[in-house]
Amino acid sequence: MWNFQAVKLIQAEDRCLAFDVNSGSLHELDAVAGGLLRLVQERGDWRQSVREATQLYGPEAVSAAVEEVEALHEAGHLFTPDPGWERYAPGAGPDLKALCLNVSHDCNMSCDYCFVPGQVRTGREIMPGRVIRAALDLLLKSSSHRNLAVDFFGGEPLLNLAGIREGVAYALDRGPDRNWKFTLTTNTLLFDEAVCSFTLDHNFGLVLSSDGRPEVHDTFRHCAAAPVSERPAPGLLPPAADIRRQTPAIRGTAAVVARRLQDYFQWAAGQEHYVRGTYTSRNLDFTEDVRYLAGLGARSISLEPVVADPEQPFALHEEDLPRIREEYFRLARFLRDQEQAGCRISFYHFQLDLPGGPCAAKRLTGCGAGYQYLAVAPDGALYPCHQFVGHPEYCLGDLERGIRRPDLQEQFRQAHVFAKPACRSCWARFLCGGGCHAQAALTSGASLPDGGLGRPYPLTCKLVQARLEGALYYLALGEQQP
Amino acid sequence: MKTTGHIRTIVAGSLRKPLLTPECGSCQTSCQSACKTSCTVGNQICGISKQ
Repeated sequence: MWNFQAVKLIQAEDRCLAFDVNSGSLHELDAVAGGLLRLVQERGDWRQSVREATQLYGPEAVSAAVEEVEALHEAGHLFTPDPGWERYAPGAGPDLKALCLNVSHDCNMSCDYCFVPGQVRTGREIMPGRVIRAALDLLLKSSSHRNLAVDFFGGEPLLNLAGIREGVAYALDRGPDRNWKFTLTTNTLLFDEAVCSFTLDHNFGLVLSSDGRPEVHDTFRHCAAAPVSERPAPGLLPPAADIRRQTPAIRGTAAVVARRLQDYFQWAAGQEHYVRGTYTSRNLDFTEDVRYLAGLGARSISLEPVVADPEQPFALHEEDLPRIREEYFRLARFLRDQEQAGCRISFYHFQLDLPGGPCAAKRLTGCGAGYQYLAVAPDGALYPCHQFVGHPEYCLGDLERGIRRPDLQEQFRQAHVFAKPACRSCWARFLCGGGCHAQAALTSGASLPDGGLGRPYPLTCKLVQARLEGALYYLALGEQQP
Repeated sequence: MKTTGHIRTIVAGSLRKPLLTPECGSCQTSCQSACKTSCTVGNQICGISKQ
C-alpha cells in the first residue's frame, strides 16, 4: 500500500516538483505526471486517479507516466515507505559537544528586533575569565567527543576580546587532543585586521551580521545610544568604556559594516564564514539584500526570518507567507543566474545535500539544545541555548553547581521529531529536524506541561517549509539542461 | 539526473540510512554554524564525511 502523502508536490514558478519525503529524492514532473500525482493525493485512490487522469491527458500519456511512477517506486525514489525511524530513542549519555559563551551581554549596538531580554541587555555584563575557564572545564569534563565547538556570542562578543583570547588559549591548553571549532558572531563594528588575524590563526568560523541594503540595515541596526557604566571590567579586560569609544558615534551602522565586510573579504579570502542578516515584514523582497551583499563581495550569506513578538510592527505574519514563498523562489533563480555569470554565492539554507547529509539521529533531534549544546551567561548560568538566556524558567543550572534541572534537560533530549505530533506528518520533518525549541517554548510554551517543546511554533514551521521549497527549487534549477 | 518521458529525477536521495544510537556526535551543532535562530538539519554536514 503506497502512502500517497509521502510526496510533497511543489509548484515553483512554472515548474512542478515532487519531493519524496522518505527517500529525499527530488523529481520534476511534466503536466501529465504532475496532474496524475495531484489527483492521487486528492483522491487517495490510485486506480480512480489513473482513470481521471486518462480522461484529462489521454491513455497513451497517462500509461507512460504510470510506468515511470511505478519504476521510481520500485527503485525507492517515489512513494517510498517510511524509513522506520519512529522507534528512535535518544541516548542517555553525557553528550555535550558545544557551548555558546555569552562573553559579553553588553553590546555597542541596540537593534530593534534583538531577541535578548531587556533586563539582560541593560545589565551589560561581561563574562570574567574564571567563568570562561570553568565553562571550558565543563565541556571537557562532560564530553567524550573529539570534536568540540565553542561559539563566542553576545551582545557583542568583541567587547570582551580579551576573554575570547583567554578562552581560546585555555581550550587549546587543556584540551590538546580535541579538535576545537571556534566561531564568533559579531556585528563587525570592532572587527579589525588584528581580530581577523587572530581568528584566522585559530581556525574560527565567523558569523558577520548585516541585513543588506543600507536602508534596510539602518532601519533596525543602530549604534547603542548611550555609553556605558563606568564600572571596571573584570579580569584582563580594559574598561568597557575604553573599548566602546572605538565604535563610531553614529546611529545607523550600514556604512561602517559595509566597509568592515569589504575589508574582511580582502583579509581572509577562504575563511569559513557567513554574512548573516535578518529579514522582517519590512523587506520581504530580501533577494535584493542578498544582491546587495553579493555586490559587497559576500559569497556566503544567511538571511533569517526575524524572531519577534507578533505585536511588533516588523514581525512576520501568516499573511506574509505567500509573498515569502515567492521570494525564496526568486532568490533561488537569482542565485542560479549569478552562478551562470560566474559568481557562486552559498545561501546557507539552500545548501541541501539530499544524497548525503546528516545521519538519521541528527535528522530527528535537530539542534541538540539543552544537552548537546548549552549556552553560558556571564554569571555562569546554564541555558539550553543562546535564545533562552535571561529566561530564568529555562535555566538548567550553573557552572558552580552543575545541572540543577535534569528534568528540563531530559525534556529537551526527548523533544525529537517523532515526539511531536505536528512533525510526524510534516513533509519537511527529515530536513527540518523538529524546529527551533526556543521559538516553540518562548512563544507559546510557558503554560504547557512540556514547556512547549512538543509543539513547534506554527508560523516558524510554515517559514521553514517555504524556505525548504525554495531550497528544493534551487536544486532543480541547478540541474537545468543548458 | 535521469530523464524519462514525464518525470525527470533531479536527485536520487538516500535517506534510508541505519539509525545509529547514540549518534557519533562528529557533526557541528546546527545553531553554531550560521543561523542562530531558525536552524534546520537538511543543510548540515556529516562530521565523518567532512573529515
